[in-house]
Amino acid sequence: MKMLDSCKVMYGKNNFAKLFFAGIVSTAIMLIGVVIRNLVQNEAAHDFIDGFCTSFGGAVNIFISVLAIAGAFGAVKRINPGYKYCHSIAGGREHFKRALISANLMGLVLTALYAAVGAVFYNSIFMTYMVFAALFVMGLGDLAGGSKHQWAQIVSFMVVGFVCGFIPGFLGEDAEDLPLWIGAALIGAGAVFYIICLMITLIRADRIWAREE
Amino acid sequence: MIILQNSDVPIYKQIAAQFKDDIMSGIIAEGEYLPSIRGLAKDLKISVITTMKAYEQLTEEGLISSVQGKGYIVNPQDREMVREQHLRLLEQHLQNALESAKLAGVSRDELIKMIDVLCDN
Amino acid sequence: MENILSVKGLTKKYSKFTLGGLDFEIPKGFATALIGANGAGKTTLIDLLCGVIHSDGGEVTYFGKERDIDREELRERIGYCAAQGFFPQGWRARDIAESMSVAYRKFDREKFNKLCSEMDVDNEFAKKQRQMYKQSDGNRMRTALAAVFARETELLILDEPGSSLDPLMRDRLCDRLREYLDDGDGEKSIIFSTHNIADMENAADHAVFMDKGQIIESGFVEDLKDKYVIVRGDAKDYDNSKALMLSHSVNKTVFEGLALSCHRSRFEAEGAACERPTLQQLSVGLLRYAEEKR
Repeated sequence: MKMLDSCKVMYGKNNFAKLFFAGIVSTAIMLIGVVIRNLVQNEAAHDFIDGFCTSFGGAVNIFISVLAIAGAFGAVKRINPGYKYCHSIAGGREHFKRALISANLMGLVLTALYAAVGAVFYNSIFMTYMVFAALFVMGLGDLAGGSKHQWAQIVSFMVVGFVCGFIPGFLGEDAEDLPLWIGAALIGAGAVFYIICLMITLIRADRIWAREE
Repeated sequence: MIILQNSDVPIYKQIAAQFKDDIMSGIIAEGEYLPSIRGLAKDLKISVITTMKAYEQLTEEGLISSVQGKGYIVNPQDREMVREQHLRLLEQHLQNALESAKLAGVSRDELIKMIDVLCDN
Repeated sequence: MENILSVKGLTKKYSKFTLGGLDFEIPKGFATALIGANGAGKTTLIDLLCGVIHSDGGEVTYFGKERDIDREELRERIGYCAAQGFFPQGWRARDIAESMSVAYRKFDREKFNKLCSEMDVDNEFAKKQRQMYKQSDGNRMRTALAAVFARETELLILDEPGSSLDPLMRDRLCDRLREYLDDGDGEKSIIFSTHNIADMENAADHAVFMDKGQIIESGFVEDLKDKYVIVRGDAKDYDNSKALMLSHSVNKTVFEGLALSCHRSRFEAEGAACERPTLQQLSVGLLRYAEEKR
């Protein structure tokens, strides 16, 4: 409840919920795509839906998660107009921390949804890479958001675009041939990277909040 | 109450003068409270400190006194003193009239006649 | 007289600007105007008082005893409104209403909506609400003022509230400020900053003049008007009078300047005329004096 309240304080009325809803919708669209893929036996249609599903559900979910994380930092960063409101409210620092954690939780939930749809109905190896990408990019988003350098955030967004475009293109049709352990190792590495980034950011949250120049 | 924002007379003096007139003439009776300083400032669209200064002046002149937590109350007025003040004022105005009469070359009889006419009106 | 704020040695250092150390007091139950040129440090001071930034030294005492601006209970009692773009730029009226009502215990949502419609800006029920960045400075300020007046507070701290408003709205703002003071009956106070005091002359009871991060004069407006006089005279008398004036300007016809009232008779003996200053004239005189002294 406190988490939801803090999201309202920092993001406005429904903006956080809207982001989450958009993630759910994109996952649902992907699910429909997967169902159609299983019904239609046509190579061209399969290729089309493969590409379609990586962006809807995959790339879009990742992008939404990073957007939510960036939003929490954006509200308190002193280069953005509007920071004075967040810094003037009672208990602003706590609201900021809770909003940051909520954004990360949202990212994890969306990633888990995506992975579940993929693992159950679709190409699980392919999903593995996108989950790795999601963890990697969210970790980067946390790190970049907490950085005092403005370019860090821009670079992190470029990486999002790069990763989301690169993985589907790189893997292409060979995805299914890759051994499972590589996928598992990738997810493990992604998770470790993400957790480290998140810990660093949360430990520095007070400093990020108080930073003035 | 009429307050001129761009008059030569400071606003607080205008306020004090008008309350003084009202108290002297009995429009505001003794024992009555004046409007609160912040309420009056709001109504007159002037700053609080200006009405406060006007009330301070009235207090110094002994016309009102401040009651802790209740505002400013009109003091009992000494009738004799009020009359004396009016007389002094009258004398001053007549003096001015005499000077003007002298400058304009109006004789004593003419002056008295003028006063008669004014009184009849 | 009680003070709502008392400031001791307050300092804030930036690479190119230093504020303070400031020592001053703000009386309770009045509206205090913070007057100074652009870059005098008014916004820095206000942000420090509201806890948007934190000082490098010194102490502020609020309401006679509170010292920690990060205490939630203290922030609940202070209403603050920044100069431009107070709220996140992507927000609409409904975001402000929702956020404020969660953030503050004493936020009257109905009053916010009512004030918004009175001031002719979107409220949370308006159709097609516009985001903050799409609105004019004036409308953004109206929304921010509606939000701060919808809260139940004991001290208002407003940064340049009048500057972006049109004359009619500024007049209404002054009314609302006086109403706030009347409502509090001596318990509520206001601090507002302005670089154009002529607009809000009749809303200021107490004034604090700032220049280059320092306070150059402060006091009740009526006392300050008694303390100083505006001197006007013929240009030929300028040389005799200028030594006694704090600041002055002259052209080939006339001179005018600001001086202490105690010298009034000497100016009059020199053939100059003296008048009681307006707050605007006082500001110009004092700021010019500070500029010349730098």
